[in-house]
Amino acid sequence: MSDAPLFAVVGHPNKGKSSIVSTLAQDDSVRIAPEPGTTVTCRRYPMKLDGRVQYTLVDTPGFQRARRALAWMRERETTAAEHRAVVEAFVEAHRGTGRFDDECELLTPVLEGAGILYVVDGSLPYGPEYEAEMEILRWTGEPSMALINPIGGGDHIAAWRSALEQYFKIVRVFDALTAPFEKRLELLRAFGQLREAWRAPLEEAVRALEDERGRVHFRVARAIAEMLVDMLTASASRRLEVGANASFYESALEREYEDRLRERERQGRRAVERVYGHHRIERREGEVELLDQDLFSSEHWYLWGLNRRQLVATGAASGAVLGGAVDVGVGGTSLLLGTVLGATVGGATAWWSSGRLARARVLNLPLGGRLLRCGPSRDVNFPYVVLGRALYHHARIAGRTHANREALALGEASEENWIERLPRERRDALERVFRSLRRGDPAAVAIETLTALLEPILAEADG
Amino acid sequence: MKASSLARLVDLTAQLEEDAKRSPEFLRRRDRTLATRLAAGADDAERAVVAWLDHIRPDDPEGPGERAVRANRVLGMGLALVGLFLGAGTAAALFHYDGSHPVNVVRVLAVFVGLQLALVAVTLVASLPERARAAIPGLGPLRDALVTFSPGRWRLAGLRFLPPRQREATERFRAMLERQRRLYGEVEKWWLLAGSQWFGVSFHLGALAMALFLVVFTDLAFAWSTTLDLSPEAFLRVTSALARPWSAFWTDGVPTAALVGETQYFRAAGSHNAAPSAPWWRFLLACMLVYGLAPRLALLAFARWRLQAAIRRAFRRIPGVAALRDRLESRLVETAAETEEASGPPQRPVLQDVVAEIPAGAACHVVVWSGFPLADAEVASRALGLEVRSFASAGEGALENDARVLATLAEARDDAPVLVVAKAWEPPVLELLDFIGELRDAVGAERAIVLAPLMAGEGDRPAAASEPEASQWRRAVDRLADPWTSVYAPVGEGT
Repeated sequence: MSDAPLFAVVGHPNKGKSSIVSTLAQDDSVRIAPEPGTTVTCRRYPMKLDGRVQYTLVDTPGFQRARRALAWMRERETTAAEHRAVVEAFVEAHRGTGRFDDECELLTPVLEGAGILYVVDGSLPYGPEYEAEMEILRWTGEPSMALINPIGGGDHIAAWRSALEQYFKIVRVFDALTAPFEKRLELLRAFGQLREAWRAPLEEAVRALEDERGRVHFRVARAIAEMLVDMLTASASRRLEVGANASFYESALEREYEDRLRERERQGRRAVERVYGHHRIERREGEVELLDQDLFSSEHWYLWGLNRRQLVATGAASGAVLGGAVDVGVGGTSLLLGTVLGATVGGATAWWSSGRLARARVLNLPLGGRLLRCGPSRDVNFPYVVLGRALYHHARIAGRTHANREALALGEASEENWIERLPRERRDALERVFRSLRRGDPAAVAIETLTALLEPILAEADG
Repeated sequence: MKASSLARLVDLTAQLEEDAKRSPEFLRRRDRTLATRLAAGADDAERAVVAWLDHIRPDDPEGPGERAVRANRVLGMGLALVGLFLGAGTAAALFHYDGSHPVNVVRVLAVFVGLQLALVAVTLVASLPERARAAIPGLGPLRDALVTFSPGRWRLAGLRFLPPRQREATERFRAMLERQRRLYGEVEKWWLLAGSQWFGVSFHLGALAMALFLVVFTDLAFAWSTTLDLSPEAFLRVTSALARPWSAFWTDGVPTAALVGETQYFRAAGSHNAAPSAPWWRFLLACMLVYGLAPRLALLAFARWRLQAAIRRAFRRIPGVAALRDRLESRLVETAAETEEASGPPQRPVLQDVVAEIPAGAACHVVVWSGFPLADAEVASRALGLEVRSFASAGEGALENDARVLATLAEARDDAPVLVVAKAWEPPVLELLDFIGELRDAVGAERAIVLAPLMAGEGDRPAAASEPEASQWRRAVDRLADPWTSVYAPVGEGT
């Protein structure tokens, strides 16, 4: 067994044990339900650093028959020194009998030496039924801490605190649903106070989580940069024969282009959520709107995939070869005039005939035609709309705990003025990248530059 | 294999394309695990990526990179053969002498010096950086034309003769260059230029070999002849200028004024003197070597050097490399559970009507469970609007207290229902359900037991539980499968 600290999250059923584990373990696969008894067996959440366990959280089922269990133990009590042995005997006697399954399950990690994290709901009133649970935990002799998790709207924290302080040395309030990242780290550091030997691994774990958070900003910056570049360079096109009515195809092409943009934005959202360990978020967000008045352009296309410039180059080169042959024929006395003339005539012919070539047909197959293209958006504001929405989404995700299972409703990003908050030099740098993309500069370079620009912006938004 | 070679570039692209289909979690675990093993000697980022690639794709003769390089080598050899034959053929044609007309020195110089220098100039234009090409009007289309007719491109004509796997690897390499033209544009440019220079070197080697062969094994006569108004003095100046690179140490290779003067030839004159023309061959071979072969060798070395540099640059800029470096350099932090969560008890709808109303003023026995805030019988009667015949507390303190309550209720001789008032905000734990079971045993099979989960209301008056609290209590009572046990609904709220 590993020597890494073990922490058992225990308590009454339905008091937010799983929420706390979900938030601290950044794991949204933890089942959280208002129905009691959702957790039926212990589930371990090891925090590993390069494969080495730093500490393990254990989510446990809640106490179901605490008074009866305590009564059994009291019947066998001799001295305080025997308390732990009695608890061990209790688990030994009842394991698998069906009578105290939940108690045996939750006490097992505690008897393995786990630190106890006793969770109560600070929004509901304190009750005497909790005392038997706390007494049993005290009998185990393991270091313990009480966590007041205010789940609902009520405020009974003061009453809970005074009751809990009679059983636990450390009592902390921790809202698993809204705790920001720093609060989570603070709590982990506090776990290290339970036993001296646990301080170092917990400190190491906290440092690693802080480093990881920094890396997360790079990964998110990259995901957003890739999405931005894809959306800003996306287009939908259709090859038409020369003379075909382009307007007939425009609405379908525009729809295809918009669908492509929206799907890419959704992929970007999922990528960002995944970086933060959110895999099950239900998102409600308005679709991105295009701002361009006219998204369409058309150009000629040719069989063999050559563009007009390549056709001209090929024509000029062919002309130069023919002209060169004439130069050779006259023994060089033409001083390469043939080559120059040939290249000029070949290039010019290719330029003027390219339009005609597009209309030509061989065996009833067109040699070329018109390429109707929708997008990419040329509107100078479009990149900022996409980026603003992405930053807004990131801010919501970065601040969201893994215990939060509500749908993520994203309102209007413009309300947050994400772009206006940026310093002028950053906006200028962004504008340079967007301009270079509109010019057709390499997407890979733009992604690198955008990633470097966005990383500090995201870190500040998360800070 | 050299670091950042062409094979590695192809392999890296192929690997990153494969990785793009895998989950980020898998990639992080795999790459970080590898990185911890490769840590020694991989302090430089590029070397770390190379070490990673070598580990993940160990030198595999069947890998796409190796196959593409092998295919490239085979195609290069084919290109070299073509160059050798063409060079030899050209030399054979230019050095042809059947005794009627001498070899025209002007023609040899035009092809092996003039044309070669022009082609070298064209190559240099093609190798200009993209920015310089864009700044000079007309250079773009010229470069396109040069690339289209580059001998380096002829290699691809031999593709069909390659084995299928090598052909596939080469096509994949070509597709990579095409797809990411902007990223691999420089690689493609230098790859084509290196191919062209390789062809040029072969061409000149073939030409030199053939010229040497003809000089050694046949008797050649040389003369210079042109229609242009070129005096022997002017031609001497041209040849002296051309011979300057070796004139200091090899005077035999420099045409003299006498030689130039004696070997001017007019076809109309019809005769020539072969004997004094022989020294021309040294000059011509030196010209072919210095102005033909040497520039091609230099350009070949330059193109290969630039190709390696372009590959190294592309290596760093390939999309996915930055993410790969992040995976290699950052410690792998895992916090989530390693196992699936065990499923809880299945939720089923409430099968029986478990909700009961008690008419106002009806008689009942009240048990307050676990400290629900009802002080005594009088308060309970007022709060619930019922006639409370007995009042007791259970669910707190010692279990003996619960036993006493059960005993008291068992002794009650009436049929009044037993109302167990519990905190609706707490879940119905098994301890309470155990108590209900024991209560059933105590009061008999047909006595009504009503579980009343209530909220603490204003003053003494409790309030009805809201959903979803009420529903969990209904489900708990339903699971008891006891038709005489129900959940209390305050009057008017029963369903």
